Amino acid sequence: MKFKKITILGLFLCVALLIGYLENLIPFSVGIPGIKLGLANCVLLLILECIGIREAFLFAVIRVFLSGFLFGNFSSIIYSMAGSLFAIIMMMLCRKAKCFSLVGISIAGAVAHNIAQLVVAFFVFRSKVIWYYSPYLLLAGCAAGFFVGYLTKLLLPILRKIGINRV
Amino acid sequence: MKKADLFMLLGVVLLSCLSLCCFWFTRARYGQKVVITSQQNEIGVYELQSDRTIIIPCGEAYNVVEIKDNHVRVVESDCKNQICVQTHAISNSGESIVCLPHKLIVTIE
Repeated sequence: MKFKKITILGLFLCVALLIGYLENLIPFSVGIPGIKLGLANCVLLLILECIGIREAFLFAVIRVFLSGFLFGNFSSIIYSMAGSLFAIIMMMLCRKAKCFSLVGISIAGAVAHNIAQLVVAFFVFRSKVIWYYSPYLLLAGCAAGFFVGYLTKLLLPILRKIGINRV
Repeated sequence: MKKADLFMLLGVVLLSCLSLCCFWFTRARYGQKVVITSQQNEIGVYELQSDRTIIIPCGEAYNVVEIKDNHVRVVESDCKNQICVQTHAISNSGESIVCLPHKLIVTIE
């Protein structure tokens, strides 16, 4: 049972890293720093739903370090660490609250991720100019969170069918 | 989607509209000056009306800012993500271009 869990988490980690990398390769830019779809969050949501909260937290932290060392640099690790930690904490709270669906949890995570990165950017730049991006980032978080949440909702029954549930 | 989801979505959208309105109404109407800040230090203030090109060094890296026809844009940078270069040219007060890797802010006041 335990080996199965480790194997599945490792597989999920590979998929998340690959998705994150592929997402960077696709030239999608709206001219506002920090706006992206965050498809890797799909994997995190699946773990949160299928495996458990503790594993999801561990997964989020490890993913930040691995993708930071592989594709990023020190400053990108700080940005994504802040974003990921705040996002996973908000998603855990929303999951515990039990009144949100998967889409709601995903939106909360995406918005929290963007807010945390804005705060880090504010402390790096120490300029109020950073806050001008907040409305756009909040809206982008809603849109991306909705999309990712919906996608996860579609994926969930497929994963349950092949036996990845409560391992 | 559940009811709580919709309320949260509505809340966030409302919040962003509110902050958008806030920035919209507090900004000065016509931008005159281009302020360039790098690594938390103000590099210089330039007239928006006079065309020029400014090279901003950042250690071994650099950004090239161009002021032309009352518009400002970053024409070149050796940063990794190139978001500053892809940002459209700015001309109104309160607008800004940010290069996260080089800690550069170009803003119009």
